[in-house]
Amino acid sequence: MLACNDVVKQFAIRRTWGSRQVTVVNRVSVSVEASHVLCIVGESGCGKTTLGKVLAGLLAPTLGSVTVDGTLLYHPGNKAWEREALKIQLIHQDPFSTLNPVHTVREELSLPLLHHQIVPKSLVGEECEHLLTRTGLDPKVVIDKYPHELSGGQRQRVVLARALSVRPRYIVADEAVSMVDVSSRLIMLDLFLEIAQKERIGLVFITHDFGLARYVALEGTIAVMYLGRVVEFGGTETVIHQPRHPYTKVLLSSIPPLQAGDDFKIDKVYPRSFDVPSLELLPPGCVFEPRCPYAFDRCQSALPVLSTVVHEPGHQVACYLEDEETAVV
Amino acid sequence: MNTLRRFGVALIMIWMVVTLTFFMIRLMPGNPIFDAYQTLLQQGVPSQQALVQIHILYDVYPNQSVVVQYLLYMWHLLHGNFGTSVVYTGRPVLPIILAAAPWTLLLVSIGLTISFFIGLLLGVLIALHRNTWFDNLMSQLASIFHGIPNYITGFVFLYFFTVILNWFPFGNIYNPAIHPGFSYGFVASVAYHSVLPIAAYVFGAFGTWTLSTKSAAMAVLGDDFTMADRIRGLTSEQQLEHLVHNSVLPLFTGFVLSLGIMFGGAVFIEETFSIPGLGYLVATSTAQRDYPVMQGVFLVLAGAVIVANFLADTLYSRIDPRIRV
Ligand SMILES: Nc1ncnc2c1ncn2[C@@H]1O[C@H](COP(=O)(O)OP(=O)(O)OP(=O)(O)O)[C@@H](O)[C@H]1O
Ligand SMILES: [Mg+2]
Repeated sequence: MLACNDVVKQFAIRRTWGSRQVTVVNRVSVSVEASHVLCIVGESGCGKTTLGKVLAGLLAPTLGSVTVDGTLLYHPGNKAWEREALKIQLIHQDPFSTLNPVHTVREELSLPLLHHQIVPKSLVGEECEHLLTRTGLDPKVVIDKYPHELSGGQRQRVVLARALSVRPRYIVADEAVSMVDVSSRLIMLDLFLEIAQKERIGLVFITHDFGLARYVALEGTIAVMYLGRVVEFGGTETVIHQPRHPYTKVLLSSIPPLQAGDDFKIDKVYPRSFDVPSLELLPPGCVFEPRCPYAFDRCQSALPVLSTVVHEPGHQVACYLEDEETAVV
Repeated sequence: MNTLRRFGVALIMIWMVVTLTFFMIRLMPGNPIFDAYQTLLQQGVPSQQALVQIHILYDVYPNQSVVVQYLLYMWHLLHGNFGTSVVYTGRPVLPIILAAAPWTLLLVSIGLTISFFIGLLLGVLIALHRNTWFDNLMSQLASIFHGIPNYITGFVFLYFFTVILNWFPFGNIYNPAIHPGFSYGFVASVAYHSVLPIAAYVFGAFGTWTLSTKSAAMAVLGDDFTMADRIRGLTSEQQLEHLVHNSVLPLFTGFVLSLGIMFGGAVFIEETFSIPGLGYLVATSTAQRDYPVMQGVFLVLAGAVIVANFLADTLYSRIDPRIRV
């Protein structure tokens, strides 16, 4: 299991006079099991990438912990965790800048194979070809090419092959298909899912697109993030068909229906405002309160905590409306 | 094919430089041949005889039209004949230039290489230690040195190390008492005399390289593939190797171009340290209006820039796979 526990990540941002801390990820606990899928959904700037990096062992959290199969990451004084962190690979959004422009595909793939002695030296070439084949590329065509000679889709496959080269148990895919042509997005997604399933890889899929999240995490879980916090968490079906948090409802309302009678029908919810508050100047109460169409006085005073919805185990929401409803019931 | 085209362009540029310098030089005030002719006339020599004398002395007819002179010059140049000096009467220009070029080449190539590697090292270190006291200090220093012209550095070095401290010899590139040749004494003398001028180059140039390396390395560090190295658990040495490799690429063109340009930049330093190189030759021949030598040196200086440009273009496509021509 890859899990983070109460993770807080702050950045110092430089101002003319000194610097100040902004909290980009705020007390987030999420987890994913092997061969399961967790989707993290939220608007731009809500801290998805930052959380992804923390989960992938790239960015030490300010507070809280990350564990992979029981090993604590970011263990000060014990470098052994870095070896464990290899189990988690991050696939970044932009396949253009994530491949070194001066390395051929072969060099890119064989470097970690050689370094970690994943296969015997004599088999490295074979392994590279195998990795490429697995991601749907023809090794003969691409193996000696440089990144700029590949199409966007090919690059993203190379990036996937590169991630697979160190035999990860978990993959954090950060907007992994957003730069791929719309026409080949679905194929890429299927490839991800198929490989994850076959290799029993746990997938953390980060996206701002609820439509994608729904497709990818059909049997998994979804965490909805807003301004650094998880505001709703639950099984995909539950979150999509019985959303509880107004923010989730707003996001779901913004998915264009593909066809009449599309299978989920929720009442459309629109925010009171489209301005996202700055991380430096958060509202005192619920962070969604300034935009929430259902906000009432209590929302302005204190932040609601993420708690399990009554009669729905595994479904968590951070909203005072829940209390109201249970009070009414 | 492209290389061939570039080569052609380089040739045309050289021709243009030759032509331009030829005419520009003749537009400059002060003309030793004309002066000599006037002197002869004043001494009562009949004009016909004065012309003959001038021709014997300088191998030119002062009353020849400029166009004819130009055509003659080009014709000779095509045969490798740069003419003869009008100040050191009768001495052909080519050997004068060939005697000066090695010193310039020596100083420029060593000075540039040292400053490049210092700049590379500092630039990468600064980029790796972003926003620390090291970054602040070194970036400031690099900008300051970047701004100081090298003749000032040269002058300060000269004054401090020869006049005040008396650590290094003053002027020339070797001790004239030693017979030039590949003897230990001669090489040692050249090395000893080169320290200050090379140091002046290095101080004038390393700041520029530091700043460009810093920005290149920071761009590379910001690229996701640096993160991709980390997440695949590559060692810091491997990551550093990639960082340096990727940061050097954008600097390469500048480096080769500088090799060409610094031939000309040698003027000030060679003058300050009285080194008998090309820059020194430019200064002296210009002061004396020694047309054929001036022409020859300008041709070599401009040629160096053009050749460097050609090399930079041709070689860059070989070291950076993104450029395929
Ligand atoms: N190194 C950093 N220093 C300071 N602030 C940062 C840093 N990295 C991210 N941030 C800030 O943290 C916030 C969240 O960034 P993050 O990239 O995690 O968002 P995101 O949800 O991935 O957004 P997007 O959908 O646009 O990729 C942003 O406001 C960003 O400006
Ligand atoms: Mg992001």
